[in-house]
Amino acid sequence: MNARIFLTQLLGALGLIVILGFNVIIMDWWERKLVGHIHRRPGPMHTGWHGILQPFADMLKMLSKEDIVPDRADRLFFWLGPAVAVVPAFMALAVLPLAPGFALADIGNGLFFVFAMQTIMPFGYTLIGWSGHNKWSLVGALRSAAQLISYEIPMLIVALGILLAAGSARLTDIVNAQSTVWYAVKQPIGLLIFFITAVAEMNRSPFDMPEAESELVAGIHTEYAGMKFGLVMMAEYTAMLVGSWMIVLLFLGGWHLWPLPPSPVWLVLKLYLVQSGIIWLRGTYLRLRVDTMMEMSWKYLIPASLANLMLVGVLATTFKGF
Amino acid sequence: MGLIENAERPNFILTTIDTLLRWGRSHSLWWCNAGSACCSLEFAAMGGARYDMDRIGSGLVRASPRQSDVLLIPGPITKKMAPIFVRVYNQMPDPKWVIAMGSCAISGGAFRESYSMTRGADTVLPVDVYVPGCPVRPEALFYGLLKLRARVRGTSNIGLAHREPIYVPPDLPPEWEAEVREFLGEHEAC
Amino acid sequence: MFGQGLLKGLSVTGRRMLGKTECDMYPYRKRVLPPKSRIFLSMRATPDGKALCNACLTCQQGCPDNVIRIEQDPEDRKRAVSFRVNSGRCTFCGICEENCPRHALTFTQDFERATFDKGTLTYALIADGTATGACVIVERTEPEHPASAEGGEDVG
Repeated sequence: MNARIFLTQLLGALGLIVILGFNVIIMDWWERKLVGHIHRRPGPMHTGWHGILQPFADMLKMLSKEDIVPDRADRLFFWLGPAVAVVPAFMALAVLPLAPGFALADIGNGLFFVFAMQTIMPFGYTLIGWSGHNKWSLVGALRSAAQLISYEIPMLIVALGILLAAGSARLTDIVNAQSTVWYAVKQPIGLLIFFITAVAEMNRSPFDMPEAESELVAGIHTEYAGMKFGLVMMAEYTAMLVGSWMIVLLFLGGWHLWPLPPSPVWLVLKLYLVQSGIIWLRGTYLRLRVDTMMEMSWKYLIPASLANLMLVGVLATTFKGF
Repeated sequence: MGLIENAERPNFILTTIDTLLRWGRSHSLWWCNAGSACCSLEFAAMGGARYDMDRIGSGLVRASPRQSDVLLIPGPITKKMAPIFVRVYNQMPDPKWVIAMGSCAISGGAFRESYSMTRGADTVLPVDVYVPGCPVRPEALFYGLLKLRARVRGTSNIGLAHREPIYVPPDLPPEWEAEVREFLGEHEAC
Repeated sequence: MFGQGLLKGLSVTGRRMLGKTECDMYPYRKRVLPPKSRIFLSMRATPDGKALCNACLTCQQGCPDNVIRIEQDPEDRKRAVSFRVNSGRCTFCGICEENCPRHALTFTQDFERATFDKGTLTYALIADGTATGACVIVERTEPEHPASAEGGEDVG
């Protein structure tokens, strides 16, 4: 590898970090604002213009809080947990394209890479929950692991349907296959299942079992204070970004908005619309019970996703260019 | 954050950081609601649409004391619960503040004569703001929060040495001794 | 059935989200409180500092929380030397106001009394025989009896 490619990649990685930070700041503010408006209250108002400086204030405060590590906590994993949760989400961002071929690494099996990275995230959550030496966070961690593993299966099966239709695992090819008709139109059941499983993978409400405030004190991050808690929140928002980016790429046509010319602007627009939709879900629905949530995955979503795969297979072999 | 608090004398950089920190802390005071009695409902009303404490950045009521800045005591503290309150206060990371809400938390109120009640939260915890009322109107608590905010904004952290890592009530009753001491062994500031 | 309720919930919250907010914006705009709301105890007094209280101690004896402390003038027992209210104990039940035979006590609607110092919650309505600034200034010294003025609806 020559020095020029290395420097470009390094700059790209730094750019990704900036995007990540920017996204967390925007989403923190936007979530509080949107949930506030759902409750008919204005949300952050008096910190800057309409509370736009609120995330900065929170960040400054969290940075300057005392950093407590419980005495009986496993120190190494207590520090490592948030990093293990953040890094895979961040690595998944490396293959997600913003424009045709414009990704840090537009690799041939990008689809599988993203899912592989999402599979590592439960390790992070489990470490976060287990290392704090707290029974509530341990329960939260186990719930998180069970949830993420059982919701990965229907998600992957639905993604197989996309793979079948697009004929490539390169994310750019998958998006370019939807230049006129999105897969959301061709595989609506797939979109529904993928959306539900993606929300569950992000640990967002109504699937926020790991952080069930009414049952477990604060779930997996009960013992986390200060900036380490900020890192855990950052992991959640980044997972949300990755999940909604995957929804946009696989089903909502990425940078295509037929008949308008393709542009990254559409992608960003769709990305934030999907994230706003997820926040809307959070403001609307109640948290599922643990058993109903597991039941939903194993009893309904997995058979439905298999049926969807079969349907897509039949259609793809029957009609050319499905 | 011992850098600012342990500084001997201020200089330009320290004062700038301190101003920033004071701004940040005053605009994001997150609650830990101890929820000991009925004033807690007025506190919930303050989070609702009409008063909306999220406007000034205090809208997050964290369930875990580790992530909160203000301990709200919305009611009487029974003698049985008092060591638990001290424990929750000690579990919060510095800097932290306490708001005593309502007559019961200020002085015992209607339960003052009872054998099982402490006479006010300040017998147990270092209370910063007292908000009188029975129950406190949400606006009154909002006013108390604004006062606390003004104090956080106005107090420089430079040279303000850390508080003791473990807060032990000054006149510790012998029956709490075991509970608080056990906590001393369990908890360590990093 | 089949997720209709889910969609209905989404439509409800969606309409709320796009609608107007209902916030009082407290520090900037203050809401007019209900007329019967009892917030802080005060006393009627004339502009020259003469309170309507005649130190009958009815309020002090009726108070369930020992909020009121009255000190009578030893020479003229119908005159209060000091009248102190410890609002940190008060439950705002209103018994003192109802019992006051001269209708001297009244409740104000001032709620902004949060302090850093517990001691300031105890305030004097009468100090050294004269009404303090915490009193409500009225013109008449004679007790006004609203019930009898309205046509004798006095139940007691």
